[in-house]
Amino acid sequence: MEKEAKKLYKKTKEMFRDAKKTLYCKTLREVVKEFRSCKTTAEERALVKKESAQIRDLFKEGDTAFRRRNVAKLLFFHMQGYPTEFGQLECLKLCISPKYKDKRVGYLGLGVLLDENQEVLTLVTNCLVQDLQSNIPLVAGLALTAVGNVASAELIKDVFPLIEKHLQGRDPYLRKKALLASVRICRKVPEYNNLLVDYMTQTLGERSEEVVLTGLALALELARTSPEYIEPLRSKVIPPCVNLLKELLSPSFDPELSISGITDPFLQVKLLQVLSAYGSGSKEASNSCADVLIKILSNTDSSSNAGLAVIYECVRTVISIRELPGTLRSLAVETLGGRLLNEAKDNNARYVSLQCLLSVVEEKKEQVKRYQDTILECLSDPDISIRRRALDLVYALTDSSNITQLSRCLLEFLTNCEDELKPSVARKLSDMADRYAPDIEWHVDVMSRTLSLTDVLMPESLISLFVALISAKESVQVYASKVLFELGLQPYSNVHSFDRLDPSLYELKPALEMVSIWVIGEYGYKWMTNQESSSLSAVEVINSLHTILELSMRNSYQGKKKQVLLGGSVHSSSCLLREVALSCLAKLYMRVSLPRETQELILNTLRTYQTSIDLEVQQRACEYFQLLDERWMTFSKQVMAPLPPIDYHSLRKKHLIGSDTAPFANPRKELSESLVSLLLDEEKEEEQEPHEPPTILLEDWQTDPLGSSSANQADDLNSLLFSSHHHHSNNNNNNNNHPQGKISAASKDAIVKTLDCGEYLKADLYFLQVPNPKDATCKVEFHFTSVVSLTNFRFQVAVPKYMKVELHPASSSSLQPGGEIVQLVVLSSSTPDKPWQFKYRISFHLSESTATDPSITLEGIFRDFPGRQP
Amino acid sequence: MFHFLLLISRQGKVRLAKWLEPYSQKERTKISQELASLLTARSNKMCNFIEWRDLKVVYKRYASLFFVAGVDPTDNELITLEIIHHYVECLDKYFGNVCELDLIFNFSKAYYILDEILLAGELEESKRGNVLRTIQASDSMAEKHPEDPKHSVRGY
Repeated sequence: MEKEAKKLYKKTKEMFRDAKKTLYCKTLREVVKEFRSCKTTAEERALVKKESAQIRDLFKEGDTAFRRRNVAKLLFFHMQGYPTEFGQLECLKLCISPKYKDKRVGYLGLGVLLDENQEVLTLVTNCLVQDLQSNIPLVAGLALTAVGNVASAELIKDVFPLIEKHLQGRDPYLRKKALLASVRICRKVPEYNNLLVDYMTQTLGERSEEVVLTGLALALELARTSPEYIEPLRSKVIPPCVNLLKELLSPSFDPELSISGITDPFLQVKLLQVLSAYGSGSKEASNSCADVLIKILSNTDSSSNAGLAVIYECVRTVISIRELPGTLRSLAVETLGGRLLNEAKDNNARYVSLQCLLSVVEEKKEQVKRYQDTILECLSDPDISIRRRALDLVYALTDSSNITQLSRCLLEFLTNCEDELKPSVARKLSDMADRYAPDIEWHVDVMSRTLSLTDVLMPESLISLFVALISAKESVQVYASKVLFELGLQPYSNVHSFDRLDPSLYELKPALEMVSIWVIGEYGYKWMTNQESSSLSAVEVINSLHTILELSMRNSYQGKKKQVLLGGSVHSSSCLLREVALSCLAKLYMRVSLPRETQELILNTLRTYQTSIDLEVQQRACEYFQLLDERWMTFSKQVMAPLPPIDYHSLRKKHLIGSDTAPFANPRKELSESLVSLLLDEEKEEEQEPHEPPTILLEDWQTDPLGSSSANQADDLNSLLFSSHHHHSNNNNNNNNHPQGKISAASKDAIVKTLDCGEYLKADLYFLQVPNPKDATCKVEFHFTSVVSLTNFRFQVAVPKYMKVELHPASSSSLQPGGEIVQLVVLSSSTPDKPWQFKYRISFHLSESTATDPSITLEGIFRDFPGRQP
Repeated sequence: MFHFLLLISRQGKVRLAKWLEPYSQKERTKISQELASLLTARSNKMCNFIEWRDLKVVYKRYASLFFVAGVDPTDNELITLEIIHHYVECLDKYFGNVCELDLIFNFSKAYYILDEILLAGELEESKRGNVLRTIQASDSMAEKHPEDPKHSVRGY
């Protein structure tokens, strides 16, 4: 008896506890308060986890009492970045509820938790259909808002007749919502545009201001999505817009709509945008709006942001309608340069004016030049947004009359601009110099200084272009050696002890150093042997090379991991530098008749590096040492003969084609660019491959993406040593002999594919060699770029049994935003008929993540080999 | 058009987020974090625009809150600022001297107001009076349907 009673007691107690658990549900306010009192993210996470579990339980039980409250909590969690997918269905349940209070929260959740891609959205169709027919305006309004913000194309097709009803309705509240919902319909289902046109034109004569405003938004969207409507609609759209604008300018308008003295700036701006969209292309239309545009330009008060917004929009409209008279267009430019750029001390006005001037600079260059001083002043603004705009404008303003002044300003700008901008500035300078350089010496001067200021951030293609420039023009070679010697080598020529070295010289500038050394090695002899008083002394060169060699050794072994040259590691880049320096010494030895003691100096240096622990450096030192021996003199004279000139113009053309794939280019543009090249390259490839210039460009060994792989470097060495030899004996074989040395040059012509790597990483596959029936191997260069910085990067590849894979080391294991990791993979197949494929796994750590587990692993299969059926 | 509108505190906390283009939850979090760090680094004197990915970000700081709008690069940046200000004024009128705490505890109200100002990424209503009237009507309609008295605890 007692036992039973105890049992019963226990059972009731349990039931009571359960009941309490479900009955008591924290309010949103309590949850927000608790969340805010959390001190660490771990605490926050624990709270959200606990709350979510309870909410999920309640949802499962089909609870209705707390549903609204719980969905609201989920909205809060969602905003803080926590997963809330399980609440989507509950939102729909709330939408269906007859209570307005529930509906409001349900539709809010629909707009926040869901987007058009969610499957759940199809379930809401019935509810929307019902609510759109509701005779309570607020309920219909909720449904229209949902259509305008999240509807998918399918959903739109289901509810379109109901939207049409509201478009014809009398209630301005619902009509404006329906008009904006139609804006979304235009974007998602352009087939309906012809049905929407009439509803749009009907709004233009309306008295209700919000209906006109939203009708104009629809007009703009129609013009954007189906430009073929512009022509027939012009006569219906332009006159009412012009009239309304005139009305707005007269002072007797509704005071509730004016903002700091400007009558309804929102409507004015929309009207101007519509004029610009529908007015261009017709003389008649442009004539009818010229008056009102002049009025706005001259009468609008520019002291407030609203006024500036209207003036700015008016200027844009004038600029976009090419048919407007020249005087009006000049007035627009004057307003931009005068009132917005010079007078308004507001940085926002400056920004928009710089941006807008860029769009007219082609047409009104002389007029824009008047504001050159202010534009140049903007180059030193602390705000990067303004500097970027000014930079583009300066570049566009350049011509042969002001090239010297503007390039001086840009060089000055380079000295203290952030690294992020440097590549694009270098690109601009190179292009300006290319087009307008007064003479070749000046050109070399500007490029050397650009190189010295950007160093490793200079795009590779520009570096090789610069080298090609010097190589192509014999007359400038002596001058170039002088300039580059002064910039790159002279600072190191008189160093006797490292302790007394200027600290700024400790860090080498690898790209500048490398180009200088190469140029001195290749052309320095001309300067040394000419009989002028100022001829270069070989001893000075050898001294500075000696210092640079020492410094590069120190830097690479003291772990100064700051500079990464052209995708390689510090170590490999300083190795490259040493190799170039050794080659330079060998060339000088062969080409200049040096006194015995100087020759000894060179041989001594070579001897030192014969024991270098870098295989490649050691090998070079040994080989050069042998080559310089008397026994091989006849042979080595030929080996060390000057390189034939590089074809500058073809390289420049190539550079111009490829310049858009720069690391800081717009990612979407880059993608489409690579897609285009994917299409083009199918035909291009065959004809371009054999035309690879027989000379070795500096680029080829500088940009070596696999610096640490010794086999590859041996190839480089061969190519460097024997290139001129090859040139005499065997032109065509050059390409086959140095397959890897050619990577970077070839990759521009290779077929490009992309690999699916999730949101952080982008991988481009450059197919250097495509599998074909004759040759069952395939070389693929993987270029990984990322928007975040990551470490411990690892890329693995697995293939089926009938294939073989050879994975070369990656150029780096960490990646900065804008940087690149390059890795070469060679695939071959024993039975080429079977499908080509490989599995890949990419793993890395996010270095700046707040998540507890920053490591990410991605896997996938790649079958999309070019030229093969998948 | 607006692609998104975010309210981010100076500490980088999101106070309100309206996404008008389909961004995944992961992207949403990432974008908010990225923009928060970009914006807090900018000084007051700088202009209110940054070029970000392929959008233009127009932002304005009101007290401790950043109002951040991602718009098309061809949009009029200055009028976007004016729209943001319009929204802030509506919030201010509704809450009466709005502060960050109001928005934290009543974020749903802030969403309702925004839904009356922006639809499909376009400006919907430029009269402050109309916006407030609608919201008040909506509020009183929600109150008109009292639910089971047992559960009608303050707010939600």
